[in-house]
Amino acid sequence: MIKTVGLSKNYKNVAALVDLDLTIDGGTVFGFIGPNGAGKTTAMSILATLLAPTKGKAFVGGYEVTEQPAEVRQLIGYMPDFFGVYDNLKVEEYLDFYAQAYFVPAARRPGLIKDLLELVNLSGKEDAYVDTLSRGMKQRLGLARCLVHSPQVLILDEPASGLDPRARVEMREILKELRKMGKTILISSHILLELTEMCDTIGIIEQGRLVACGSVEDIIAQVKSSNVVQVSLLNREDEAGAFLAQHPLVTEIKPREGQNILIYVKGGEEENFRILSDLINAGFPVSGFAVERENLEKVFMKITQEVVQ
Amino acid sequence: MSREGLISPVLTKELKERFRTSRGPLVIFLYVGAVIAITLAFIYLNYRHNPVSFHPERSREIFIMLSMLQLFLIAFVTPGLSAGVISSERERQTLNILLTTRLSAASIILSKLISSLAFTVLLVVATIPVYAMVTLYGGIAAKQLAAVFGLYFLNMVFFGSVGVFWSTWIRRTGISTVAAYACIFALVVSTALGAELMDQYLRSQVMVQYQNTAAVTAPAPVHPEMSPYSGAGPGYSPPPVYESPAIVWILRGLNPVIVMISLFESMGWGGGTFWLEPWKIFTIGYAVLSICFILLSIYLLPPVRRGLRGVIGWKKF
Repeated sequence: MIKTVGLSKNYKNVAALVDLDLTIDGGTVFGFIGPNGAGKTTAMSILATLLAPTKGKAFVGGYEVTEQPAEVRQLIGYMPDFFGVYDNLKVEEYLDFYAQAYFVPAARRPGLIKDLLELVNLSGKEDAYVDTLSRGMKQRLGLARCLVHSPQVLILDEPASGLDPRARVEMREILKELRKMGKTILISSHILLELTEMCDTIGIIEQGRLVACGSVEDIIAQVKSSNVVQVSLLNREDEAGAFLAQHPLVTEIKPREGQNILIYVKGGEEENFRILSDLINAGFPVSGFAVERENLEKVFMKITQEVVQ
Repeated sequence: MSREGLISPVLTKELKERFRTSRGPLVIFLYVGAVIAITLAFIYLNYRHNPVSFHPERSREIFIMLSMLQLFLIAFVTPGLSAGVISSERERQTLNILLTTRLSAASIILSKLISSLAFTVLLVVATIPVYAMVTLYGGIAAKQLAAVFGLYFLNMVFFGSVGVFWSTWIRRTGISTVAAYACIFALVVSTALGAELMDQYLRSQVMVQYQNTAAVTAPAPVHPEMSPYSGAGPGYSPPPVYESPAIVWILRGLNPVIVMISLFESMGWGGGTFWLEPWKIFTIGYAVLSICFILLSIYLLPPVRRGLRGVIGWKKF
């Protein structure tokens, strides 16, 4: 549904996007991860027909974004990271305006608006002025606005940014609902946990380059050259810390939190076993030895750190 | 999905937003109030020594004053209303969303222009009772009244187009408003000043040439028509009759104040006359300039420009 080939964008001498090759299948959710200024918004703006690439091509539904923008706009619903609303309009008028802007027939609009407001949990707010809505409500209204023409593709740039935890959960639930409806979703977020739960595929972008792409499990497996173990002790934590710091299989040791020590072990289960044996043989009162599951946040930090270095 | 209708949703939305707040009626109240106050002050100054008698000539003077005042107010209000139509969308971060809809750049620009003009038209229409009051005792032909309002309308379209153009080109509303005012001020001053400077220079050139080349037996008066020697004496060659060149007349015809005056006074101005009347030059010139500014705005609006075909949205579903 979405394809980019060697997509690049330069701002004067700054390369915001470098040879981005991306393929997103229809009906899947793709998560774009990257720090601020990595090139996520640039890539999304190009796909939303708002920015011309310096080099390369981008296709949405088979249409090239710079050659056939009208066709692309009919296929996409775009929600930028920061967007304003028309404060002097009522919620219903706001959605009606955008429905007209996509040439939705007048007879269809009232029913459509009712359904959309129900989907984003804003039923009963039809007659409220947009400026009276909370930030979370405005964000959900923005999402409803993206859906007025029933697009196949949603391009959502940080849809949960600036929202409180409750509003984030609500937003996540709506996105899950849209996923069930078969929409192709390209989403960027700083809340990596959300993406882990929602996305079929993720792409990690740093300094304009796509540095990793695939399912969450695949990417974790790709970068997993060491594992993290939490060692718990009844006492003698300082001595145990010094012992582990000298151990040849331990690559890194994190500052102690209470009676727990976090260590990075070079290798897998066999190496873990050897460290545990050495600790017990040395007489340390080990009360726990738990291998931590690698999460997306750590993978992200590791990959982006490598790129920066 | 149906095609784009005749009435753009942007126009409907703009009108709704503009007329919904209390700011709209307040501006109308202040505008009409200012026009009435200044007109009444002028009437008082004209009739304070002889309040019982009436002279149609004075009624005409008040009408001219009112027309000029209104022209000045239009030049003041219209760019202010139109110079923020696009930049304000950019500032409140709604423009990008609007540009990802199926509305064409032409539809957005024209809707924005029409909505800002609608308000200015309303302001002018609201002052019609003042005109009725001034023209109550005659002195003004209906044709002149219609011409004045026609001139207003053309000015509004032009000033509005200038405002929309700057608003599309410049990102900040404050700067685009200043640029629009500066542009209009420069046009008014440069056409009036340019025409007169050029006219005076060319006139003096003609006189110098005459003094150098004419074989005169008697000293030629500077103003022969006022001289007792006018046309007298053998060998006397009268100075040539100076005719302002076309460029001077065109410059005069592009100045709204001069054109407004020409609606009331026949324009001879010591430099002959021109085959094209000032209001015709004005109509043609300002229509062309307005179209140019509108087309430029339509060209500048889309973030990704694909030439004229893509801009005016020929290819639609």
